[in-house]
Amino acid sequence: MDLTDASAAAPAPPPADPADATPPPSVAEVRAAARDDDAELHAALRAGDRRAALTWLMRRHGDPLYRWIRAMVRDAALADDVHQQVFVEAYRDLDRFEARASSRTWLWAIARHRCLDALKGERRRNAHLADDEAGADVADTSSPVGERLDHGRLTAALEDCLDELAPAVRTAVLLRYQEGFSFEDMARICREKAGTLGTRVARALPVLRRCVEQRTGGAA
Amino acid sequence: MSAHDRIADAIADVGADHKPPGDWEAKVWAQIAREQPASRRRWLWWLAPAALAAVAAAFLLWPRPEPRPPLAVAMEVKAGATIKRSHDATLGDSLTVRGTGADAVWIYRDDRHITRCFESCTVTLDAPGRYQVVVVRGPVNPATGVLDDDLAAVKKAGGAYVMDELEVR
Repeated sequence: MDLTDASAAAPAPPPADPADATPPPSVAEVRAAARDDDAELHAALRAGDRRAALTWLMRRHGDPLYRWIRAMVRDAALADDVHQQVFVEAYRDLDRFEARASSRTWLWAIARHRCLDALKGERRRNAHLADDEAGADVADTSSPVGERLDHGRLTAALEDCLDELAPAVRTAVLLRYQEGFSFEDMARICREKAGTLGTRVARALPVLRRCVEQRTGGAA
Repeated sequence: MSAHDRIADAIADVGADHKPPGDWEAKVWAQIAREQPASRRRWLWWLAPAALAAVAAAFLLWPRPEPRPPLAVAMEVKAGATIKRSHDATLGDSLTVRGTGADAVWIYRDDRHITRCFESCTVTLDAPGRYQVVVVRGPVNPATGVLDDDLAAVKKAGGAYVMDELEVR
């Protein structure tokens, strides 16, 4: 994959339609939209069928939640434990769910707590590339991350680079770009202001880019 | 697409090959099953003080019978409609006996039982002699015979009595 600005080599795009000003949804946002229908869950809860409700939650969110937790804690055994604990806790708190807007937001809020607890317990990592309020370069210059970096190498490098972010930053970046949460939903999950999370994510991107460049030798 | 956009899209694929273990759902159910009895026990801990409070409240609020007044006897002698102040009575007077805190009132003449009632009796003094009035409390059999025997029976049964007397001429 070429991480330089592709528009430089592509033919000039047609004039932008003002009504088309909103950016297209990201890959993660498209995936997320497909998982946001909670109708079956609400039906199970209305019927008082807690087992059916949890089964639905596990089938619908089990895999993506595991992936997110794994990216957060970077340890398979720990991810297994946290993942199971999230659903146990969800089962226990199902009665409190009904008023919530979305099962995804609710589950990820539980998962975030459990991940941060697990990370506090582990404390394996000392160095962080970025801190919550670090003044990283926000601008997206055209400096190449890799002229011809393929997608597989990029994601592999990103996994390592995400691991070096502070947990709060990693949480925000993964919520936004891996899971496609809106900043409003992220605010509910993290109990922080959407603007704060937006800034955190924006500052993390250049940090990640530099990290990827270092790990891939600047260009692949 | 900018470099940052490409990184953002690449993050969406981070860990795409990571899957939970095949039996993870079963492990979740097993853990829930393990936690449920414990959670019930926790409820019992909450219930214990509530139960104690309920018992205490029941003890305090339970209606208890009022203590019975002391055993006492009151006699009133009437000559016609006139109430006599003394215990001296003449033939034809009436005697009303009221027992306080009593289960029975027994009336005797010259130590022989002539009548009984529960709280209040009125008899016409139609024969001369010494009338004994006894109010009794306790698990005793009805008086049927001689005064001394009846009083001994009351004591033997663990009951109590109060007696007064009246001379009729």
